Amino acid sequence: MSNPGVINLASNEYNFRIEDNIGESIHLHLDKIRVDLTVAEFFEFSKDVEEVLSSLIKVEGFSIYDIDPLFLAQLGPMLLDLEKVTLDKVHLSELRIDTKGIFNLPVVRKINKSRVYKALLGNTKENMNRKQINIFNESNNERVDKLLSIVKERGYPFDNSYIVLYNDQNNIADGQHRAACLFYLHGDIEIFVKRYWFKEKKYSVSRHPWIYTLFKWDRIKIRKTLRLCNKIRKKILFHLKIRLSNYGLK
Amino acid sequence: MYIDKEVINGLFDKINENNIRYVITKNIDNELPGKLKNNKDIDLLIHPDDRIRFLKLIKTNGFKRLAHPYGRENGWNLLYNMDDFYFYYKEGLHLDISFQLCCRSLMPECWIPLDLEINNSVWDKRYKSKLEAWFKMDEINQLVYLITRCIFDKKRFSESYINEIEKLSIYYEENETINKLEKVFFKFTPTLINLLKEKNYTSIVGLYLSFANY
Repeated sequence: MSNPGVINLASNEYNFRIEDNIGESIHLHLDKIRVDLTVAEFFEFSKDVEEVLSSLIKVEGFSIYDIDPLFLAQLGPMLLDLEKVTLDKVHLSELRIDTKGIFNLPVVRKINKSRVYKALLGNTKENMNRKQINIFNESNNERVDKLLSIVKERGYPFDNSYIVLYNDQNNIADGQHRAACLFYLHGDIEIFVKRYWFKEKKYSVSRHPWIYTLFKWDRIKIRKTLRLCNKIRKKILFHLKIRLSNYGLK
Repeated sequence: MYIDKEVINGLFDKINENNIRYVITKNIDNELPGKLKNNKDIDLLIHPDDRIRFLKLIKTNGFKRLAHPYGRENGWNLLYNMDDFYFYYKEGLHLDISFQLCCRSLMPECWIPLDLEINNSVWDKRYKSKLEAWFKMDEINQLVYLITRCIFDKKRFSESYINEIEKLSIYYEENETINKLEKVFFKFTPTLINLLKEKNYTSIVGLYLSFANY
């Protein structure tokens, strides 16, 4: 029972999750099945999974081993739709990043509006407040500083790792930190990027994502809104209950 | 500035008269009964079977209920069917009530009860000294709880908590202490005990979170 030191490492919609139970074991859960592994066994298992994935995705120019593991986790569900990978040249000013605009609505902007670029110029507030996954004990700003040092020392690309774009769009799918560092160090230079082309240009994003957020409703958004309304309703009822109880009416 | 100690002692006398089973979970810097600042909490663990009688007693003695800042109502999850927390207030005195010894899980906004063996042993081993009006945990459960709270709830060992833990340092290598710490920290326990003995408090949380020798 009850190991308080449980960290959810990953989960997906297929009722599969990986938990680190610190001091105890790594748990893989699939529905009602649980597999306990030591940390060493888990690393071996994940190497095996990497090999399987690599053998499943036979697209020229694509290699599992060149991809950041966090990005690979996001890319995973899309890989079966991957048709080709091309190496292209773009100017840094042509790249686009997803960020937040007025009223925190999602917008697409140029690299000079990136929170990472702003942090490099000394305006760290937006970057500090961004919710993102970093390696253990590393803050958002420390990550920016570390990437800047790496790009200064090793240039771009390093470890065969390119900034990734999808289809014919210039929105950065992976590599905003590297792009911002390059822009900060060298200005609007031309760089090599990898383009992942998906079947029927799937996974392309809207040029105005705020429209989708405001006006397009899908099942997930409806569910989130209903959940929020329910939470507010429960809060109001709870406060009413306390007040009634405090005045001896219940 | 401080709550009148007669009010505090009177509260505990009433609870004791009604034979309600409870313990205070901590008394940092011996703030009870005469140094508890206005609007600070007394942390009480109530036996789950005495929950209804205790809540009735508190209400009839003029305490008003407030929403607990870390309770279900504020979006926290209480795992393994834990009872929700209660928060009561009267004239500057706050009572923070729980029914299971617990700590924050590393999963966001989740509370988790400590192992059943630890929770059950609190009731078998609690005691009341002649000098104090309240029941408290035995030394080993107190030590385990303080260490757990530093690592999971506070994510650091503050000076006042270190002072309380060091008062109980003779119990570090008791078999019962080790068994109970293993229920919470598992294979990290030997490392934890060594770090406590070395007084290397600043490293404990970081080393625990990055522990991979299992």
